Amino acid sequence: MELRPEHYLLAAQERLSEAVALRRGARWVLAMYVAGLSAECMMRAFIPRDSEFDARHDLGALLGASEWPLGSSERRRLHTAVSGIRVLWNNSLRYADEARVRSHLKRIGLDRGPGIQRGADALKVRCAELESHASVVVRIGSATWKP
Amino acid sequence: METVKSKMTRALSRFVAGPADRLTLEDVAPNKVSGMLVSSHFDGKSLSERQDLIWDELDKVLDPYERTRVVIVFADTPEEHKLYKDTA
Repeated sequence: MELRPEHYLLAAQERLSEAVALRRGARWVLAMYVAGLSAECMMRAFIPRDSEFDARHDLGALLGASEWPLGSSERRRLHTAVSGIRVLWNNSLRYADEARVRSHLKRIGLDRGPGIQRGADALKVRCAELESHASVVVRIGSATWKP
Repeated sequence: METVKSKMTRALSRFVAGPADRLTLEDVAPNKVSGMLVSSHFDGKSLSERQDLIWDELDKVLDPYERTRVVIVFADTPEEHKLYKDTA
C-alpha cells in the first residue's frame, strides 16, 4: 500500500480520535499505543518524500528526519510533546497486557510523582497525559501542513 | 435525514458563546467530517479533558457508526488558536 504524506496526516488525526475513544472506554493500554501511533503518523507526514531514511518506530529519529516549518516557540512545544511521548510510549505497547504496563510504569517511577494524586489510577493518568502530548503533535502538524 | 455534520453542529454549538469562539466543520472525502472548535470553555482544561467535553456531547447525538465518521475535532482556546494561525 502506497502511503503519501497526506495519507499520514489524515491517519494521524484518525488515530488520535480513536485513542480518545479507547481511553473513554477504559482501554488504557491500547489507547496509549494508538495515541503514540498518531504522533508517529504525523511525523511521517513531514518526512521528505525523496528521503530514504527509515526510522522504524523511533520517535526521536523520526523527529530528526522530518522537516517541520516551525518558529522557535512552536518547535519547542513540539519537542516537549515528543519528549513526553517518548517517556510513555514505545512500539512494544501493542504486545503488552495491562498488568505488564502497570508494572513497567512502577519500575520506571511513573506510578507516582507530579500529576498522580493519592489513590489515582496511574495508568489512567498516564494514558490521558500521553494523549495530550500526542494531541500537541497532531495539532501542530495539522496547523502547519501545506499540501 | 440529519447529516453527521449537522448533528455535530447541534451538539457542539453550546461551546460557542464568547466573541472569539467558533466552530468550523469540514467534509473529508468520501464521507467523514473534521472539525475545529475554538472555545473559552477550554481555558484551564487539559487536552484530554477537552476531548471528553466534546465527546460527551457528540455521544449524545451520534450513533456508533456515525462516531467513526468523525476524523478529529481539535479543541483550542481562543489564545491558542491565534498562535496556531500565526504559525501557519
